Amino acid sequence: MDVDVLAGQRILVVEDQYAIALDLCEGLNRLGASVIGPAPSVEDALNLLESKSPPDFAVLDVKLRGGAVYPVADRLDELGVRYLFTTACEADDIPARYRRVPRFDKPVRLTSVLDAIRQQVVHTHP
Amino acid sequence: MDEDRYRSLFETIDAGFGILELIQDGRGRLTDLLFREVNASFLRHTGLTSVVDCSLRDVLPGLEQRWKEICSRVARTGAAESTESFVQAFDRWYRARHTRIGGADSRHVAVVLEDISERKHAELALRAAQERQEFLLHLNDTLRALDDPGEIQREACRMLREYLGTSGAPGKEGDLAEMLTAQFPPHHEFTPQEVVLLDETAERARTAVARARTETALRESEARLALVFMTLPIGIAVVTRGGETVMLNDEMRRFLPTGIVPSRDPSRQNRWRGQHADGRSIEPGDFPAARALRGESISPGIEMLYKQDDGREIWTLVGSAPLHDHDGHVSGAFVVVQDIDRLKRADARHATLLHDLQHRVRNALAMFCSIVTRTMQTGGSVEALGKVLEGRIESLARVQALLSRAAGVDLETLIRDELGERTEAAALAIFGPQLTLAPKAAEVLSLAIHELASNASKHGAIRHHGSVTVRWHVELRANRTQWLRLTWLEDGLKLEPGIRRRGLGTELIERRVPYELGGVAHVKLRAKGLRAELAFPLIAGETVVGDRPRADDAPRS
Repeated sequence: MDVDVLAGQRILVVEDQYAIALDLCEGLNRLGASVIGPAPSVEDALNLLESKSPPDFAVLDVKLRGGAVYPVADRLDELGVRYLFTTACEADDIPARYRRVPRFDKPVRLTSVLDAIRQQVVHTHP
Repeated sequence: MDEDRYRSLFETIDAGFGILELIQDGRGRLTDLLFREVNASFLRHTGLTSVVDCSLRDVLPGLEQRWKEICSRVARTGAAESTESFVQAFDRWYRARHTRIGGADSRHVAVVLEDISERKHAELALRAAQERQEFLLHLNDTLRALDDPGEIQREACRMLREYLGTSGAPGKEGDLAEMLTAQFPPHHEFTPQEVVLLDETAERARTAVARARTETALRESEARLALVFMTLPIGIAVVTRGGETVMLNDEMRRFLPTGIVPSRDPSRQNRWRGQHADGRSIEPGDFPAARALRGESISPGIEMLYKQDDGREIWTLVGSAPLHDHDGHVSGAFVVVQDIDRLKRADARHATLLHDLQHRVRNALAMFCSIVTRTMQTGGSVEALGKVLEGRIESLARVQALLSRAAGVDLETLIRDELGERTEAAALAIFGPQLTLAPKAAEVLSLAIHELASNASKHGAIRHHGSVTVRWHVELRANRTQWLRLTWLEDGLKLEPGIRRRGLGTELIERRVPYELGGVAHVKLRAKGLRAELAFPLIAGETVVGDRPRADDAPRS
């Protein structure tokens, strides 16, 4: 993947496992993106969305410490921001209204997630 | 016709013919009847050789009185009369036709005699047979109404006695043949008809006894079945086409206290709810009993929630099947309700446990991948990296193993497991109240302790024979939150300052604890040895399991 394909893109990372969050952040940084977060909880993620201008895209872990990520997803929908899920849950556990959201099962291949982000972002901002 | 020809006719006809003379006393009363003339057939019918001038009393004994009345009437009126009479002495039946001979003052009556014994005996036998048949039918009806074997036998004897018109004796109880025989007089000589009668009476009594015994057995068996039905831990009911119960057991009364199936009982419909496979609610008209009354069989049943009087909803399995009449029309339904609440709740618990396990395994794998990648990035010889990696993976595996056995991990056990054999060379002290960490906190803390212990083995107190003290306590913070504060303290060393760089191990403590547990962590290298401090909030179900120790609990020593 080309370096800087995500240059100038602001990506929100919500992930409650430190090491995995770090992998994602480093991967995004390598592609030139600037990371918002990472946020380990719904509360932290909503605070970030409140205090900063909306991101261009978001990567959301579904099951977080203290509850599921859906309030963040709903806020992103309101802001018109696209996102994808990384999850250790079964597909059945995700409510029907989020079925259209791209989903990556843990453990994820970092390159697959980054590639998906790149495609989504390029599609949104040609 | 001349005299000879009459005589010839007289002698050859088959019927007995005789002429009787009425003998009267001075006052005109009939005193005797004398035979004046008889033909050959008369002699043959009576078996006598000569009767002329003999009195009727001698010829046909027993008929005298009757015939005197008839003959005087026939002589007086001239109207012929017929009689049928039994003559005991000959054991024969005779039919006699009496006709006056001559005019109004005649003293002669002609008698035409016929032996009708054969026909008469047949008639009598038939009547006896009819009477016996009637008796047996009556016996049958009477015995059928009885259900005690002893009573049946006694009643059969009583009826036989009544039929025979004898006084009878009770006979030996239980021996039917003897009981019945005893109804005849002692030393009685039985006729073939009586033997048949005895036989038939005994047969009917025996049948009645057998039937009574079968019915008793059936009643007992029905009683047992009824008991099973009533005490079965499954609700069972038979309902009519209108949905009313005609039979229901105790367990079913729990679910149908009004005795009407919910689909036909608006007052109780809202107690029941269920869902079709597509998630739509089941309408009362589609409840199992309603469907069965439309001819459908619902087996083994549909899972439905039933709201009890206490407001609690329990899971049930409701099955139903139609009952048909002889014409094949639905006449009612059989309904079965099973309380499967405990089963369902256990199922749900298992599903949750399985779900949690899957989630943890996937997260653990993701963590493994990340740790491997990160460790490889730190650089160094392949051999050294392999050793570090092995230690970290073992730590991750150890905590997963502990978590697979229980819902949480005891903090002291976790610390001792991580230190393992390394502590032999160092003076080790562990202090703190009992505390069970939830999986998340256990994962973070076990790797943190691992990193501290492996650092101490390579560079610190364990390698240089210093001391390691691990202590923790629970403290109360703002907003009444409780925090666990754990201190790792190495002592007794004399280290050159600045000889150690901050590596991945330190990062896994200082940054992961705040990130994953919402806490704080600091690692500080002093000249006497390393000091690490970790603190994070204790939240039931998230970082801690069960009762938290009180904040003022003194550290154990």
